[in-house]
Amino acid sequence: MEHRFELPLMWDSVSRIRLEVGVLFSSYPEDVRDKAVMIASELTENVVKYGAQIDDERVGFITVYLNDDSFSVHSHNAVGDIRHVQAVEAILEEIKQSEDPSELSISRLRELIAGNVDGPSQLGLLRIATDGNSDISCSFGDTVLTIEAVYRGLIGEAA
Amino acid sequence: MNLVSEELTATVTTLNGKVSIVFEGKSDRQDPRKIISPWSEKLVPSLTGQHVDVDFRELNYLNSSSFMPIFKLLSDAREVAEEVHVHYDGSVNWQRLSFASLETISKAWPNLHLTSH
Repeated sequence: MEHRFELPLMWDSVSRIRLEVGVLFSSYPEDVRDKAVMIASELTENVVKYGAQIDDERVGFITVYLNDDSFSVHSHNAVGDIRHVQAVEAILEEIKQSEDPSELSISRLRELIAGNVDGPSQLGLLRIATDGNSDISCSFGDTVLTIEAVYRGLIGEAA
Repeated sequence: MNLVSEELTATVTTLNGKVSIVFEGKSDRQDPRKIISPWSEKLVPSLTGQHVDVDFRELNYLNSSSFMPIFKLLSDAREVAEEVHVHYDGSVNWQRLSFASLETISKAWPNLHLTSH
């Protein structure tokens, strides 16, 4: 089942998606619900931070696909600065090549604490891959960046 | 020297020679560094030589943008303090997962200890 949320490019959208996804997963185990909320929240932060006007509107989209076994969360937003797309592609490639994304996450945190990182922290995408137990990929076309986070676990039965 | 913002507070108290820092609320601002870093830069010198407890159990949520200023506070604190004890709620999923990262990082920091409650 597909659940699509249109989100204005404003920070209140992050709180809103946390509520909406929390309700959507309200009958699922807490662990699964927390992960779904966190994933949607981190993707929405990216949408709001880096999204640009699309079809004359300042909005982005979060789509949650929920089926019997698992779920995925997709973000879609226009991008005004191609460097953001390149940064996302670079960190996702690092995650893909990494044997243990949590090591990558820890290494990134160390660099951030030491003040050795310019630009976005990318901790949100790393958090989705590690704490969110998800595979992440992205695609870019017609100025729209899509990021897909596919939960690797089983979600269990809804209560 | 408390941190008071719209949704995040950190209450600092000193009792019997121990400094206690208790975080409450949530940190999900777009750039939490603007709130947390100026406060922590003022706070850290006062922790010199102290035994410090930092309690995150009443914190409802940290977004990933908050990790850096929070972990930087802990890193800076353990550089000047005698000891830093971090308390979190291991029964809360996001806290357990988030502080697992700190657990690994802090292996190189002998005077920082984490306790899951």
